[in-house]
Amino acid sequence: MIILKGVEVSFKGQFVLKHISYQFKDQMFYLIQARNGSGKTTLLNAIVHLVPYRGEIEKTGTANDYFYLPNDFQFDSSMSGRDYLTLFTNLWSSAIDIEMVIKKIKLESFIDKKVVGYSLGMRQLFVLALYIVTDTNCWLIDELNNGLDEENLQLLVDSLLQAKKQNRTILFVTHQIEKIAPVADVTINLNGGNLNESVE
Amino acid sequence: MKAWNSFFSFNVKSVIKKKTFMLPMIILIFGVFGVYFANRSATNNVNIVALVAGDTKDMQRQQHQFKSRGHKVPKALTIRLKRELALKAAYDNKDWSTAAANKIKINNEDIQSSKNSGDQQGVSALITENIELEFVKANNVFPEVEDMGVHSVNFLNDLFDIYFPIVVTVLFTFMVVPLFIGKYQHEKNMDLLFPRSSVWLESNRFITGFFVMFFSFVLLVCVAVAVSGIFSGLGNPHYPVVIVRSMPGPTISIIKVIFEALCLQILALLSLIGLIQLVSNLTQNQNLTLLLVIGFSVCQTIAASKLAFLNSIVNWIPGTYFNTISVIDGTVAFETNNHAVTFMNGIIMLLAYNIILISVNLLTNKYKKVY
Repeated sequence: MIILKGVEVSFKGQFVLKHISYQFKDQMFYLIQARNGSGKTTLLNAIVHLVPYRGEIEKTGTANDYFYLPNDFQFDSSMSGRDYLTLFTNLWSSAIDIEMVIKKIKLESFIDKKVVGYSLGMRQLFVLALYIVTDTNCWLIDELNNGLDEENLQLLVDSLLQAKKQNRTILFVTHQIEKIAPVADVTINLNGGNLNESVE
Repeated sequence: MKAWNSFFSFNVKSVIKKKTFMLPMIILIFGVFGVYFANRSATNNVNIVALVAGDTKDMQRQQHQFKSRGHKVPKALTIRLKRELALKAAYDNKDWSTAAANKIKINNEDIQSSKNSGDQQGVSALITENIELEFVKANNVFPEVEDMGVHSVNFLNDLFDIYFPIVVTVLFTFMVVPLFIGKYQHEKNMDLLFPRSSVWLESNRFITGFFVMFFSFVLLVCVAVAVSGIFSGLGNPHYPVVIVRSMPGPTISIIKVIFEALCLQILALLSLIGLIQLVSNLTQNQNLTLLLVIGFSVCQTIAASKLAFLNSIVNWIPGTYFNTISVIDGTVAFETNNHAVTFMNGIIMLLAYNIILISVNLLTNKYKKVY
C-alpha cells in the first residue's frame, strides 16, 4: 500500500504536484493518465524519494517489494542486457529464471548486446523483463508502452495481465491509455497537479 | 552474499570495459615500454665510461701535446689516463668488477679535487656513486645509471620514483571516477531505486575501485619486470640504494626499497579511492570530481619537492608519502630538512588518512539526505 498525504512537488517555485492525498491499495492496477509534462513521472519519482517533496509518503513492506525504473534511467555504456538482468535478479534476491524471461519477452536476439545500443522498442521490452525478473510485489511503471509496435504492445499487456494474476500492485503512468486501460482496475487523471479517480 | 558478488562483478566489468579504463592502461603500458627503451638508450650515453669520455679525450690531447713538444708527460696525467682507458676496456668487455674498481679510483681523485674546491655537493654525489660501485666491484654486476635503471629491480625502483607518483595517480583517477559518479543521473541519485542501503552499495564500489586499481597496478609492475627482465635481466636484489644525507653512508637493498614502496603505494591507492568516492558524492559531477581529486592529490604529492614553505609540516601531508621511493631513500627528508618523513611515519600517516576518508564516506552515506 502506498499512502500519499498532502504531497507537493515544485521545481523552481512552480508546483508540479499540488497537495495530493491518495491511497494506492495492494493488489490493484492503477492507470495514471495525463498529458506530457503534467507530473506523471514526478509522482513516481516522489514515491521512491528520487525528488524532494513536501507532505508524507508511506509505503508498506520493504524496498525489496518495489521496483521502479525511470524512463530517463541511463544504463551503463559498457554493459549488456543480460548483465543487468543478472544484477537485478540478485539485488532483489529473486528466484526467477532469467532464461525463461528472455525467451518469454523474446529478447534472445539482442540481450547480449550493450543496452545503450537498443532501439526504443528493444529498450522497453528489456525494461519489462527487468520488472519481471525482480519479482517484486509493486511495479511502478513509467510509460513502458511508448515506442512499442502492436505485437510488442500485446506482449506488454499480456505481461501486465499475468502480473495482475500474481496479485501485484501496479502503478502505470502513461499518456497513451488505449491498450492499457482495459487491464486497469482504477484509472486516475493527473491534471493541473491533482489526482482525480474514475473506477472502471 | 550472492547480491554482493553480483554487484561487485557487475561493477568490475563496467569499469574495465570502458574507454576511461582501457586508454589510461594502454598509455601506462606503452609508457612503461617507452621509459625502459629510453633508459636503455640513455644508458649508452651516460654510463660510467661515457661520463669520463670527454676527460679521456682531453687528456689524450694533452699527452699528445706534451710529446710533440718533447716534454715529459706528467705522471698524474699518465696514471689517470691509464685508469680511464682501463675503465673503458673493462666496460666494453663487460668486466663490471674491474670497470668499477677503476672508476672508484678515478672518483677518489675527483673527491679530493672537489674537497679542495669546496664542492660539497660534488663530494657527496661521488661518495654515493662509490658506495654503489663497491657493490658492483664485489658482485660483478652491471653498474646501473642513476634514474635510468635497466635491470628489473632497478627499473622498477626508478619507475616508482620518477613516474608512478603523479602519472599513476592521475590516470587511475580517470579509470575509477565513472564507478562512483554513474549513479547520479539528471540530478537524481539512482541508488535509491535499489533495495540495498547506501552504505552497502558504496562499500561495494569502494572495494571494486580498490580491486581494479590494485590489479592494474600489479599488471603494470609485471609488465615492467617482464620487459626489463627479457631485455636486460632481473638484476641483483641486493643492489644498494644509498640513503640520501649530507654525508652518504648507509644503504638499503633495492628489493627492500621496492617492498616498502609497494606497501606505501597500496595505501596511497586506497586513499585515492576514498578521496574519489568522497568528492564524487559531494560534487555529483564527473568533471568537477576529476579536477578536484587530481588537483588535490597532485598538489599533495609535489608539496614535498616544490612548495618549500610547507617543509616543516610536509610529514603531516598524506600525499608526501605518494613519493614512495623518495621517502624511503631519505630524499624528501633531506631536501625538506624534515626528518619525520620516514617509511614508518608514511605507513601510519596513510593508514590514518584512509581511516578518516573511509569514516567520512561511511558517515556521508549513512546520513545522506533522503527526501
